[in-house]
Amino acid sequence: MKCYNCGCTLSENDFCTGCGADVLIYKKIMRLSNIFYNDGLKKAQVRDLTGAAQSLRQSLKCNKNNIDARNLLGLVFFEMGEPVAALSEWVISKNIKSKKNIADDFIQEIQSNPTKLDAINQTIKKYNQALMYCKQGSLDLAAIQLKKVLSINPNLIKGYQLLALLYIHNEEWEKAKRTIVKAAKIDANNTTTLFYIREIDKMLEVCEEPNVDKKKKKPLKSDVITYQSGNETIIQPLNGPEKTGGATVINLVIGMIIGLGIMWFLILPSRVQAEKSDINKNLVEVSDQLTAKSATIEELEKRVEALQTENSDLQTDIEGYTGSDGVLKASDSLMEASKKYIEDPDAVLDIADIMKSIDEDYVKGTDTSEEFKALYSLLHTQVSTKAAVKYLQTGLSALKKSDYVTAISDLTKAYETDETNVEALYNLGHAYRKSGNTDKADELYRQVISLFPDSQYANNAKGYITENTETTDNANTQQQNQATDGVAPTVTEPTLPITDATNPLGGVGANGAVPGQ
Amino acid sequence: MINFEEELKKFHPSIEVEDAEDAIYNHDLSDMTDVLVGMFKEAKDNNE
Repeated sequence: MKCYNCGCTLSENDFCTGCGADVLIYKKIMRLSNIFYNDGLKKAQVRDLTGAAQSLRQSLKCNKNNIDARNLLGLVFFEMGEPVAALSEWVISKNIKSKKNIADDFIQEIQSNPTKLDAINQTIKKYNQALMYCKQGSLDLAAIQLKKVLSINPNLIKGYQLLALLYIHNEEWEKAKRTIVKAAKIDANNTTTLFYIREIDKMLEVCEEPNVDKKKKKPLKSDVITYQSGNETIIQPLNGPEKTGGATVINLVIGMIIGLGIMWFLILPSRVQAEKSDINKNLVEVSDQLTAKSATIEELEKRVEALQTENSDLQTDIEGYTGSDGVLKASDSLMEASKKYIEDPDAVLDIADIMKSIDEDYVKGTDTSEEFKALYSLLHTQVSTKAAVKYLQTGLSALKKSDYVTAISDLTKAYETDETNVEALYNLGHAYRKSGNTDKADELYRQVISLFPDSQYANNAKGYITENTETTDNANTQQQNQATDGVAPTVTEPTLPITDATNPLGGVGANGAVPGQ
Repeated sequence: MINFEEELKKFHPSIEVEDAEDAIYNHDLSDMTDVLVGMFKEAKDNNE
């Protein structure tokens, strides 16, 4: 405790040891302040907020610097729904003692939540407005406003009291009772609250006696039940007998039909449309794939054709190499002929036969190697003449024997082997003629005439041509005359009757000599 | 029986937040100590 005069700490004496001021009464006042504070604290602990506020005010009247009393007073005001009054006390407390003061925390807590502070401010304004409505006579509006206020700030005791007053004025005792009881829970010993409770209870007792039903229910003539639920009044009509199960089933069926109808007309078309669009999309994709595949197939078919063509060309080339007229075949034949010649140079007929199998076009071709051509030419030169002579001999021999087939064959070979051998050609004509093929014979005779016009055979051939038979006879007669005149006969007439037993066919050499003579 | 009008007069508007500053300034902070000091001063002046 400090001296009020000099601020010095006081002792047990009744005077200040610092300045000598009389502090007896001062000390008593201080003690009184503390007593009131303690009383206020006890009352606050048992929720007698009104009593606590009175005691704490008394404490502050004794000692305005009683920080604890001031802070507690602020707390009591806040609990009673008076935040501004609470803030005032805390601000003053903080001004008196700025450090280590719990009022600082209280102020901080309120100011840290501006939204709540604003809401509190709104409730205060609405309460003031409700009060104005009451004074103006708009009690319904006031009641509505008060309900809103109390829903936001449920600690506003004045609000509960005012609302209870309105209910009392409207003789709504139950509502009033419920409302004022809430105020009593916050502030137990509030005089106004207790007064209202007493009056309401009194009126409720009065109302209970004549009409018991009015206390809880008010069934109206139209069979309606009224009852309270919180701040609300519930009016529930008394229904008739419950609906039967049949009605429920019918309702269910109707509901299902409606649901199906909604599905059919609203949901199903969109689903169908979605499915269709998916199908179309798939169709487009498949078409694209099909087109791509078709293009690929066409390309592959073209490649197949090209490959087949190439294959056939290659096959042709292979056959060219391996066929009867192929390169390989020609090479093999030439080698065979060469081998034969080396083994037996006199087997000219066989060699000639082999060489005949070689395609002359190939021999003359540009693709043929020079070595092949040289070997072929060498063999041909060595063999052809001899072979021609041998073929001629055998042909003439066969002609003599009337073996026209052999004669034709051999004489043909003789001529083919040696195309300068006019004798072979000439006698070939004879062979055809004797065999009855006069056309071929005439052709050959003409050939003799055309190819070897200066030879004796040509002259002879002229006589054998079918259209010139008479001329030939005359020519033979002339020849015979010439022979007797010393001119060597050049032509013999095979058609003439055979006079020489050793030359029945009449085939002769180029000088008219008959073989065997 | 409660008189509505009479009871209504007992209700006063609450101080709003905007008015808190004025309320604090107008707060009467005098206490018994101030009265005592005043009395002692007056007595002292009278003695003088």
